Amino acid sequence: MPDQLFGAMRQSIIDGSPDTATELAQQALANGVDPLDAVNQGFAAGITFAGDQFGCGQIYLPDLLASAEAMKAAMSVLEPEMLKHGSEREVLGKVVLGTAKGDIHDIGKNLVATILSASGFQIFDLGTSVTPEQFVAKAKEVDADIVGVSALLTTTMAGQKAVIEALDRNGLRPRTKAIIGGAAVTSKWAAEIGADGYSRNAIDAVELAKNLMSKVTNKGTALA
Amino acid sequence: MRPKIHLLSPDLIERILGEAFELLMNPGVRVGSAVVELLQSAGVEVKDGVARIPERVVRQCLASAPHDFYLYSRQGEKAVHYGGDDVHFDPGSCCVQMLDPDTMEARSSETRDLVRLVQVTEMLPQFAAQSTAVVCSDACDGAGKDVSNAIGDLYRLFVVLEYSDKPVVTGSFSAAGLGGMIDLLAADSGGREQLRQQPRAVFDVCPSPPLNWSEFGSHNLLDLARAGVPAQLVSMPLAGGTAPVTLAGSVTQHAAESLAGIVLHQLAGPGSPIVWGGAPAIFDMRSGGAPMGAVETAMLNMACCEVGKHLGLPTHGYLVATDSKFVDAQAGAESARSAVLGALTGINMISGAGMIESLACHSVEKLVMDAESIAAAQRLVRGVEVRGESLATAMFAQTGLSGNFLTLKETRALFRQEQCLPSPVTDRSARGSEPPSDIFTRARARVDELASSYRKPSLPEDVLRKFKAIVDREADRAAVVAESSRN
Repeated sequence: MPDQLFGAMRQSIIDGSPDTATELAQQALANGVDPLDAVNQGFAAGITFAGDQFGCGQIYLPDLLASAEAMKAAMSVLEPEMLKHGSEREVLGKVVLGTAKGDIHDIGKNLVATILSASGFQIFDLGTSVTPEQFVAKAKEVDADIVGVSALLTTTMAGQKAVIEALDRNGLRPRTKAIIGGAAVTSKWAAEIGADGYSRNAIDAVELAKNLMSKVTNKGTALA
Repeated sequence: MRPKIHLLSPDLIERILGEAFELLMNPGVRVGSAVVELLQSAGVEVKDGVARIPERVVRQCLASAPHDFYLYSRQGEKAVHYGGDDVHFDPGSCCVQMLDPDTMEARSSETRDLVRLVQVTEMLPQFAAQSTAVVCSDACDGAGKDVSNAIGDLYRLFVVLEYSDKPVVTGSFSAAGLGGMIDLLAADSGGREQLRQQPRAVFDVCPSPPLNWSEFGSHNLLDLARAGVPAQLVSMPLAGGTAPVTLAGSVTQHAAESLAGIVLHQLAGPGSPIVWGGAPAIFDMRSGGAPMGAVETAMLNMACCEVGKHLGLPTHGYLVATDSKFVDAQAGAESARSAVLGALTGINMISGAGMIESLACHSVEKLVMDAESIAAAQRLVRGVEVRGESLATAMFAQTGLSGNFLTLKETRALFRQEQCLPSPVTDRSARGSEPPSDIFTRARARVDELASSYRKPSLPEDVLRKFKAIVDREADRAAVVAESSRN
């Protein structure tokens, strides 16, 4: 029975059906399934599959967004239960996310948040049009491993640079890594403003975050 | 509304046909001896191998020619609709050279090249049909004897049938070669009657410009009409060389040659399927060649097709080819341009994709590049469609001024219909850390990917045995013919 349930959970994410995902999450709790198992063996497997499909060009942004929405729906049912049971997932890292000041476009940032969350990162989403000071304050508060700044427009890309400068001014780097993303962002821009990483899409962002975490674990040591 | 282009006014089409009828009487049409009796019995005067065909006979034959027909897949599904404004594409055919992607040089085409072309074509939905794309210089019979010259036409079809389930655009190289090819198709279909009911292939038959239905062409038309296997007339006037220099003049010659072909064909088999096809081109005034990438060549194909449509006949043209010797910007520009123009004209079958060097050479890398242009052309002719009750207001009712259309259910439900989603051959990616690649590199990778995911059809053992027996039998027959002609 659980295997069948896990399969259905996985499929609900691949199909991008938030309603089905919610029902299955509730059903799992009602049947006494460990919410951690429901995530790891069911829903997260779905988002990983969808991510792989996106990475190799089999599905497109609207599909991936629908999967992310379904994942969010499932997590909103399961997360409170996990907290209650103290059965939290192993956290790969703490990530503070937001869009650059003046930029209200958050589809990309939300997608990154959902995919990173599904992959095991703890996300602190500051929302849209976030000031450098807000990024710094949150990063200090939660002892963030990674700060991610999204910018869709070339006009707001300068805000990414401002966040990195603020992190440096407050001595948060190299302990905390700064990553950037957005439609107009390139690896060249990332290098120019001294970001620790950039990825073209939400799927690559998972690999990027994991790679950076392997460097973060040597806390206090400078990057090679 | 389906977008469409017209180059000819109805008045001009009538003038073209009027002069074409005049040409059929004076100077008349040269015909092969095989059709003389048939023509005479229909009241056509034939003197010194030249037939003068009155309009009355042509009209009678046009009346019996079908307005549409289908080609079928091996599974018996309707796969190509010859008729109306339906547009299909198939790779160019009958090449003797292949572009080697390692050396970037043209070399003699071999069986492995044909197999690769067929595999890639099989995997691409842009191609509704296969073609017997290249001649195999290494063709052997069951005993390992070289048969590349003797039965090169039959051997190509054998390879295509072995590796594909799609319909085939093919043709024979001689009057004698056709019989074996029809036998091959009949073996595949389960008999001659099944082949007639659900034809899997169409045969190109070419007059020689100007106004000459040679012994070989005449013979093929007769045999195809009697077998009920579709024939595709491929008239190829070269404007300024073997035809009048004006486009209108060459279209008139094309019409006269094609009308004569319809007469020979329909007299032999009234109601047998026939296509108003062609490979017209302008004559290059410097090289003396036939520039397939020229816009006037595309215009000739479009105009000829319009005349065929006016007569209510299924149509064909030769486009999506280039004069460049590489898969380069010229190749992309010329091929994409003519793919779009052909589609907008509503040509039922557009042959030529994959071909470079004015049809002298094939490239499987170009074939996958052309597939991108063809997909775009196919999208274009679907036009701007209205989906649902409102155009935009219902979606704005959900998003307000947030701009979040990407997450709407409608977006996910409709984007695949609204957008032609390109393969990785088309570069739309964001700049990443690795250096960007050129289209030839991406096309090569795509060819490898398609060929490796291709699965060969599983043909029944007895059908394959029949195929091989026909190849061996025809090879022996051709050897006897060759021997007797030497003595």
